[in-house]
Amino acid sequence: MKIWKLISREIAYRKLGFMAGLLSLTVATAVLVALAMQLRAHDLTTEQTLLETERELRAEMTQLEDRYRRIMRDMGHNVLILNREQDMAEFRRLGHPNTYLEYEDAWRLAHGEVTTLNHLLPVLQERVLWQEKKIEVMLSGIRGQVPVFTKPEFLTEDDEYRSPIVPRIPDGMADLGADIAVRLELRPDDSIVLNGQSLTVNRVHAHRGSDDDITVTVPLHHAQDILGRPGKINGIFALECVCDLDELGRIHDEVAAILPHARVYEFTSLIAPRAEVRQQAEAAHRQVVDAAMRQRDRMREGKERLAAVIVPLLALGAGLWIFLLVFNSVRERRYEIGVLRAVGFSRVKILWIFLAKAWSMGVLGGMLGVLVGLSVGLAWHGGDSAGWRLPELIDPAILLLGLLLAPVLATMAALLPAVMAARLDPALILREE
Amino acid sequence: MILTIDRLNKTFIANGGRVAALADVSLRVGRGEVVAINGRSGCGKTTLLLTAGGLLPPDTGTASLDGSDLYALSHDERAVERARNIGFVFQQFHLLPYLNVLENVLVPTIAGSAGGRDERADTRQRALALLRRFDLLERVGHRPAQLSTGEKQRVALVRALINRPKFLFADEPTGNLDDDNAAEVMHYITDFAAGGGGVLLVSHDRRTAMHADQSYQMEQGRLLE
Repeated sequence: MKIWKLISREIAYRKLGFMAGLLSLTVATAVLVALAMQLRAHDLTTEQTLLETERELRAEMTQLEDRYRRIMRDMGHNVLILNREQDMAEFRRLGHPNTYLEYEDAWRLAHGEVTTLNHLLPVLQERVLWQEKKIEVMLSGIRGQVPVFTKPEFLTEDDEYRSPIVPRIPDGMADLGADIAVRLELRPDDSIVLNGQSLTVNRVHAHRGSDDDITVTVPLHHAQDILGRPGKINGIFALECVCDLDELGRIHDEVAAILPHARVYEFTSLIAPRAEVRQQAEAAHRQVVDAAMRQRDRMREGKERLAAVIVPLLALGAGLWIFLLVFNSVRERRYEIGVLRAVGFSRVKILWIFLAKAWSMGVLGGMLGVLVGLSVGLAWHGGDSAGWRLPELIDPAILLLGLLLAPVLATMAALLPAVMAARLDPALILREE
Repeated sequence: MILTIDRLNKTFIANGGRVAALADVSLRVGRGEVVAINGRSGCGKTTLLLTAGGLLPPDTGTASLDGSDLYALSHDERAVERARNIGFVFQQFHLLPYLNVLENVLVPTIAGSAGGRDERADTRQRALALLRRFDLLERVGHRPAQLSTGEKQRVALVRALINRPKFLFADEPTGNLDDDNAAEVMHYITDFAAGGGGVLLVSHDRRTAMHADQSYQMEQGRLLE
């Protein structure tokens, strides 16, 4: 016969005491596992909620950005790239640049690593005397926007802008500012001759209260012909897309890297509000997410505090209960111990009998506790709207802890009474007869 | 001599005073010998038996089994010596209530050695043979609660003999038995002695003395012829 048979027979004989110990360990382990699953489910649920919140906010931000982009596009360009030699006082005085860039410069910029600018519009603008009409006008030549190839999201399949700020003007046509049209009584489709260049009125712009009202806009090559500046432009309008005021210097750096002979003139009055609004929107976004995170952390802390009290209390209770059960068992089995010692059982074997029983109780209690804990946890959260499944709710470390905690706890709790049993004097017991 | 007890002294503190349970007790038991010690309760019989059996260290004196001084051995060595060479029988039998007859008989084999499969099978056969000899074969599957008093004592006797001890210590082996059962148990005990073992039995039952080769009277810790 082996010692395990002795132990198992004794367990079966005194099953009530064993079951009482087993129950306490099962409950302690089950609560540990179920609470861990509860915390895990809480984490998963709040993470999911946060992800959804972030997704919604991101979608709102994207919509907001689209709205800004459209607003900015409607507001017009906010950056002008000029020849580095341009005297800004002259620029102010004349109302247009009087130094020049090559038209190809716009394409170099478009093909370069420019990330801060969109809607590049090369332009040749000069104040001229419309000799045929004897009035001074602003002549503006454009050839449509140059696509920024680093930003495919703005481009059509033909590498044209999806929504250009300024539409192209067909060859032989001219757009007129409102003041000019009124003064010269011109309407669309009227024929005009501008400094020897025959043109047809394409559109008449509404009154804008700006230089646009006295501007005649023609295809770029017509302007270059009229002004006698073939292949030249005197500015590239652009829409900057940097949203952080602190990063405005990046535009200068990027442009300078591609066009060392150019300089950037910013209409900061348009940039600043945009950046500020965007920053505010981002801050609001961060606030919502941070508040959700704080709420989640607060709830988790509360649950952790609860678990930190309940689990040790239950473990302590189970340990105390097992101590009492084993202590009582030692008292009950005094004569048995005496006889076993008399027939040759060593102290270590007596110790082993009691510890092995407690250990068996712990292993069984741990396994049952884990199973019960998993069932409770699953019943608790498997039916959530999130419908978490078992593998998602299980932390293997907690399962391992649950399986180890019960045997270790039971063995530790049984140690003192088991040592007492091993140290019992068999002669003293047998003399009691 | 198989058991040699030499000038054993053992004193207990009781009710604030010193009680001499053993006073200069010397005794020798040879192979095949049954020695009975009679005396009233509290005279020191059980103390002598436990001391001689290696369970209760004396204050002074020696107890040697087959030439080996039991109290020169460590706790664990003494346990091994008890498991291999000593059998105990008690008045209250002290059978383990959760084991059946066969399992109760085999308990000392757990203490004796780890044992391989063959050895365990051999021990089991030996146990069954002993149970047959003690007329208990039909009771092997019964629990102690299902046995008569005489049967319990016979099971306790088989348990004491399972490891083929050299010596048997019996404490009031017939104390709870009627005449027939007492005679039967004493028959088995003398039978063991006849096989070459030594027996020391202590009892207040004078019937045991009839079966002994030597008998002593004990009074206040002293052994009287």
